[in-house]
Amino acid sequence: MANKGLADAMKRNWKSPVYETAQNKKKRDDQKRSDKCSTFIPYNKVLICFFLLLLFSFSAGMKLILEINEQKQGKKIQEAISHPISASEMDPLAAGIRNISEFRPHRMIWTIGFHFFGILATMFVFMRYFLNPLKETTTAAKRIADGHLDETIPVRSCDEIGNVGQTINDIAVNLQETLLTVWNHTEQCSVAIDHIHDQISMQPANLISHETIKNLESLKQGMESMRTWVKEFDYYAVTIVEKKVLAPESDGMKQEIPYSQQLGEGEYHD
Amino acid sequence: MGKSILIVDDSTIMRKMLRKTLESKGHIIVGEAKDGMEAVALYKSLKPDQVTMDITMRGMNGLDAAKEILHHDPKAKILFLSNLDEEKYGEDAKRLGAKGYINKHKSNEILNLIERL
Repeated sequence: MANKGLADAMKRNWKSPVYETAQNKKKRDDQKRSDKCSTFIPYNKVLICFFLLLLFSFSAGMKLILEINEQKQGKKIQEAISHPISASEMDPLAAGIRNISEFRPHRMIWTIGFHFFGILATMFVFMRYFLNPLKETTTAAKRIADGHLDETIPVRSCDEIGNVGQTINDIAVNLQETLLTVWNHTEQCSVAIDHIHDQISMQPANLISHETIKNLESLKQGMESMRTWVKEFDYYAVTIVEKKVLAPESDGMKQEIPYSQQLGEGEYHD
Repeated sequence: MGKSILIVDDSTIMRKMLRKTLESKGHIIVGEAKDGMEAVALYKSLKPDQVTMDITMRGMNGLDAAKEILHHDPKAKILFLSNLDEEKYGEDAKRLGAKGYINKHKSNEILNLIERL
């Protein structure tokens, strides 16, 4: 059987397990990306775009200021030549305001509008793609931290925030796996302890070691406290009822399987 | 000599443990899937000798994935590895056409069954 498996593998032209694994991994990663990253947003690119927008906006503003300055100087020179400067004109603030209002006010309005639009767009992008997913992730992460392992963080993008959500989900899955393994092991150990306890109890009274009985009871208590601990958590698609780990009824369990698929030649362990 | 095996489990730590256990006996892990959809796609492309399938997974669960794989290839050798109660779900797995159902923590039994299949 084992030789057949390897022969089949060779027939499919597998160069080596390492090569194949690397190739499969790449294929898997590509598939994952296409399946789950329908709203892929490269935040680095978004940030570069906004940086360029701000740069353009600032340079436009700077150009306008320089232009106003140039015209202001020209006007001052012209005024100095034509007639003496009045007292009010000596006030730099008043002169500045008048110059700004005199020289191309529409450019200033456009610049301010442009800046305002830039700020609003930045805020929208920040809220839409950073703050809201972060808030969602934080809320779900808090519930997971409180022991609700049935909580799943929605992963809507393959960026840094999506990766954080996916990683927290993986941690929750691993924790669930570990706790359920502990549950099954402690169940097995409890049964074994009960069996040993019964065997010792059946021995004549003078042969029973009270120290052993005490140790067994202590072990049993330890197992029980671990099981109580495990039961405190809420699990994804799993409930612990009495001593059994059960799953809610799913379609997969209910649906009848065609007779052709009921091979029934496998092995089932009690 | 080893068999080519596809591991399907949503837990990274369990996939790692299974890989370690199976590779120690010379089996070749041709792929790992973390949910049912991925498992079906990988089965179709890799055609492994056997599949170790978890049941409770986010997305498509193991039972639905097994049904899909068996629909595609009725001779697929699927072995369910789960933390769920064996008495209750072993029969469901058998009805589906799987080759076995073993509790995840029984690594020796898993290895023995894989050897025998």
